[in-house]
Amino acid sequence: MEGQQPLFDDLYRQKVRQARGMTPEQRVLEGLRHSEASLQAMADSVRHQFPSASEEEVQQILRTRIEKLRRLKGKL
Amino acid sequence: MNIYDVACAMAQTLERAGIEYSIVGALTSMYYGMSRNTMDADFVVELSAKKISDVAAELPAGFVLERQPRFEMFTSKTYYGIAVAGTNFRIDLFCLSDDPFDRSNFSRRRKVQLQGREVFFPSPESVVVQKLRWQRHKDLSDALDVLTIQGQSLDFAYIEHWSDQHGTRALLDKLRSEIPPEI
Repeated sequence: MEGQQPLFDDLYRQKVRQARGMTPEQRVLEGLRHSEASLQAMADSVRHQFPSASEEEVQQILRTRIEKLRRLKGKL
Repeated sequence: MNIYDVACAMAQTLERAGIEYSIVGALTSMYYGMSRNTMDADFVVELSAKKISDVAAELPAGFVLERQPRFEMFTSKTYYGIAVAGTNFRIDLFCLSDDPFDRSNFSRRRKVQLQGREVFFPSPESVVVQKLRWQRHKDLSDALDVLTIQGQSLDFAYIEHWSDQHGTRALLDKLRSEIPPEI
């Protein structure tokens, strides 16, 4: 990991430059777009793992996974 | 409906119920720092047991308030959860405590405008102080982002005062040293 520090630093600098080029409102809206894309990817992953699941079942599994993530991140 | 629409609807609900609030958490970290994922809208609210029934009465259709408050071990905060039907979003209403920093933080909140709607946010300095206090991985990442993006516009006397109070000054100094110098 230590050898990768310059890469991490460069990636962070890129993120900072991008964030500074945005208004506060644009940063929030960009985050919301990321969040919606993440949710979509998680739902697609459930559909791939459980191809015979109904959409209702997919959403239920998705809710369970999100709740686990919330617990992992310190909520609850 | 995205998480920001959910947060705005909740803010309007609190205003109708006459309850003072500040949005906190990821939305404010993004506003002052960098974009990141979230599925939660967190609020600090000045709320008594009686007032929670006023909130319940004002909630929009599809917003479901949990009957019992929860206690978050990590932050020692009492909060009420609200599920939003048809979405994976969640709202948490954290009760404003008597902690001196929590009171100071709340008194410094300000109105910001997003997508034509005005809501209360904490000051960027408060976001940094709170994140330093909690010190979870995501908190430190958020604190570094806010320090980096806001730069010298921050009131460092305020941040340093509360960091000294909380014993997090060394961590603050460490994060400041991690801001890439050439940016």
